Amino acid sequence: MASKHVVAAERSLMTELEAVVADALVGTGIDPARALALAAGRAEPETRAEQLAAAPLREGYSAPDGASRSLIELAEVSEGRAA
Amino acid sequence: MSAQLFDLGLVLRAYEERRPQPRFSAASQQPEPELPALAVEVQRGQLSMKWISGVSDTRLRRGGPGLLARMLSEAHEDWSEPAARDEDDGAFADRLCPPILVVSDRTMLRRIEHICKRDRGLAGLLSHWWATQAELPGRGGVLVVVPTAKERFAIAEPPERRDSFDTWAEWLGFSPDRMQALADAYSVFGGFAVPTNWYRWRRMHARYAASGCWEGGGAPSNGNKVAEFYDREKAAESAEYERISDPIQAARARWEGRVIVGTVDSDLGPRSGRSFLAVRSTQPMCRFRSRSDGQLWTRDGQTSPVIIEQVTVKPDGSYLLFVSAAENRSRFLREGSEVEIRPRAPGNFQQMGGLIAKVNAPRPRVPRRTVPLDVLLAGGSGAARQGVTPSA
Repeated sequence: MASKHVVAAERSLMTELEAVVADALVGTGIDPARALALAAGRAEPETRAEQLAAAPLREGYSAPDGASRSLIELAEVSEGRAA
Repeated sequence: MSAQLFDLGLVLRAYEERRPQPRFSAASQQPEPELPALAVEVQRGQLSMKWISGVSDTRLRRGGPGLLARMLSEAHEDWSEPAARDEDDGAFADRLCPPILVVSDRTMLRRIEHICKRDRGLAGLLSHWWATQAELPGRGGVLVVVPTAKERFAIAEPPERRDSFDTWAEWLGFSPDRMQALADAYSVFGGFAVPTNWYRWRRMHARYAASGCWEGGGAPSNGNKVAEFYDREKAAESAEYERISDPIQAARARWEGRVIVGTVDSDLGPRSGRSFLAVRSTQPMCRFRSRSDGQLWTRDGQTSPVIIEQVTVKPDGSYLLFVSAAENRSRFLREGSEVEIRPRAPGNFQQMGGLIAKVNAPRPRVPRRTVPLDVLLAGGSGAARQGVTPSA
């Protein structure tokens, strides 16, 4: 029963992710979950399309790491949502 | 497409971490605390107004355009009879700094303008000023929260929800109270990249002071149209330059080809001279055109204005840019050293030259050659053989 809930929650998250990335991946043949794994560095590109997309995705994903401290403090303001 | 994927990387990070991700290193710009700022909403056809900065009276007030004028008079004595107290040199208008308007989105801005535009007093004057300022990207005077937030942060929401103020308030942790949320937004986004051009304000205020009432924007003269066009373009160029100067945006611009990172190459071709330089880049795109201006940066922070003389694509897909520097290249560059080329900051002369002087510039004459009849006939018969009917 618990696993059914987990599956349902995962499916809901995937639907949400698909809505979020919407048209950004049109024409690349990459699905949203795969794009997330590539961007976060949890998967290596396999096809030619993934090889082309991986570098800008990863650079965008890691871009905020160099942002100033004030922004990190600002982001912490919104932690209520994360919690 | 690559820049879109860079943006998608930011959105995916926001999705995974459940927090907004900055698109700029300085996405949050603190406002100057002494500047007066007024949060305005339209609720049930009436203006809801509250001073959120620069004025001690922070009560929420509801009313029409008359109340806006009264709030200004109460906030500062200079506003009580500004028309009667005008001075010829515009010094009074300079002192009379119009408050910064803080609104949730552009629809709200249009509704405020609709309510105030027929007012013949201060509210009419201010609403016209705010409407003109809202057209200028990056410039102070009006803070429209949703487009500013969209420009400065990435959040993991479907596109249609990114246009809602409530979505941004939730992600950025603003207060559930609408007016307080506008105050929170002002404290995050209230700093402006481009300073306000007070020339326009002085002209509008002088017109108001001369007649003692605001007759509306009226039909602008040709001179005013040129000045306004120049002002808009200057704001757009300055905002764009400020944008690309930010490290995160510069990283994004490399995927668009508007910033080039490469190494100094020895392949100068037929060019010689100490001011010439070849830069090889393996980036997928290059947007620089021949004879365009740029600014060369080295890794140790030295910089020099350059002109990109020629851009060529090599057989291996890399770009080779021939640039001429104003200074001796040996001063700061050795073969193999890494350099970056960015667009150059727009100067006044460059903008005027680009926008207004070019209007009257003579058009280049294209020489027309006489084509012998037999060549025309041969071309026509060739086309006919390929199944194309030659046009008359």
